Amino acid sequence: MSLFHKVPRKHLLVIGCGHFGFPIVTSLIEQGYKVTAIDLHAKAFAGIPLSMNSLMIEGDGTDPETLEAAGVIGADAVIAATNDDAVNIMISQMVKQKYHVETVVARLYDLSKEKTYSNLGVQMISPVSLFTDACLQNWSMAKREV
Amino acid sequence: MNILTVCESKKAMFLIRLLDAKEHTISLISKDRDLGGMIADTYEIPVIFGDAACISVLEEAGISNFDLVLTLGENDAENLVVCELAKKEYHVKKTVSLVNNPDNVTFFEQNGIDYCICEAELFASIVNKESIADGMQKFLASGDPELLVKEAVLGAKSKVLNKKIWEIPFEPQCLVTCIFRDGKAIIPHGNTECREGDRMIIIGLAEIMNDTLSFIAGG
Repeated sequence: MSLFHKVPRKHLLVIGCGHFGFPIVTSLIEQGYKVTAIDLHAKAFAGIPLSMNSLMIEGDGTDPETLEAAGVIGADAVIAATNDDAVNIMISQMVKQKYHVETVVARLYDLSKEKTYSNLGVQMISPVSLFTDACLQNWSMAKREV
Repeated sequence: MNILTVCESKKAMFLIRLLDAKEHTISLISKDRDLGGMIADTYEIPVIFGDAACISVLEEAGISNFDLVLTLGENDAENLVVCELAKKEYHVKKTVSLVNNPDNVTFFEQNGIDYCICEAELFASIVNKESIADGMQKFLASGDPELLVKEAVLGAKSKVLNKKIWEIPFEPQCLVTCIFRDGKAIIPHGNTECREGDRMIIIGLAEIMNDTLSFIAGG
């Protein structure tokens, strides 16, 4: 039995490296994932720890050419984390339909559009809803304790 | 026809001017307040300010009442989402969208957008069409300014449609040198039949060229 058996690293694509995407990219790299980040502006990558397993690409995440350069074909998961709902939706749709990525997560500010895309197999997450739910949960627990 | 236009550039103004002339009922959603205000004043049409990719903005515009949604934004994602919401949620019959990235045209079509307009593709096709005749003209370099190489595309009204070359009364001062059909070049002979969409390369004298081209292309 080998002591050093190789575990294949999961390749994750994160599109959008702003206030929301940046900590995701940093955290995933620290956890040892192979991460490729895409952002329209190269300055968004400033401060991301350099790693053999990370690649930063300046480009448009809705452009198939950019996605392919980032290794979307064969990627294990894609996280659409830009600050534009429409962009996140289009990226999710594209990576699901065109590149058949199994796990796709998209950030949405406005969850009213979620129903339209519910059959895509994309997990749509609203940070506002998550925060509100957490607040309400804490509040109801605190109320029970009183 | 009831038309909803989504745009934040001057394209909206020019389009509305053309559509208004044809007596359509038009509304506009725009993020640009100055442009929207100007269009509302000039053409007396309803203008809604906001992000058209938001359901609340589409509903404020009365999305269910439109027969056609036109998206002319610079952001492909927004154009796509607006058209998809219009079709899937509000059953708008037709959607027409500007697609800025040519690589996204097929993706838009696959997702139910009825008509995709890609400016880059249009320009490229015009340039490529020109380049065959222009390239031949340069190659020919006859030194005689009266000798021209031109291209004509056979339209639906072309007088030479479904005719064989020998049946067409071409002027003796011109010659059909090549026909491009379905991406392939055909060197024509007397029995070659002309079809709609064919691109004919003509070599001839300047004096008969305009008449020959309009005769081939159809008016």
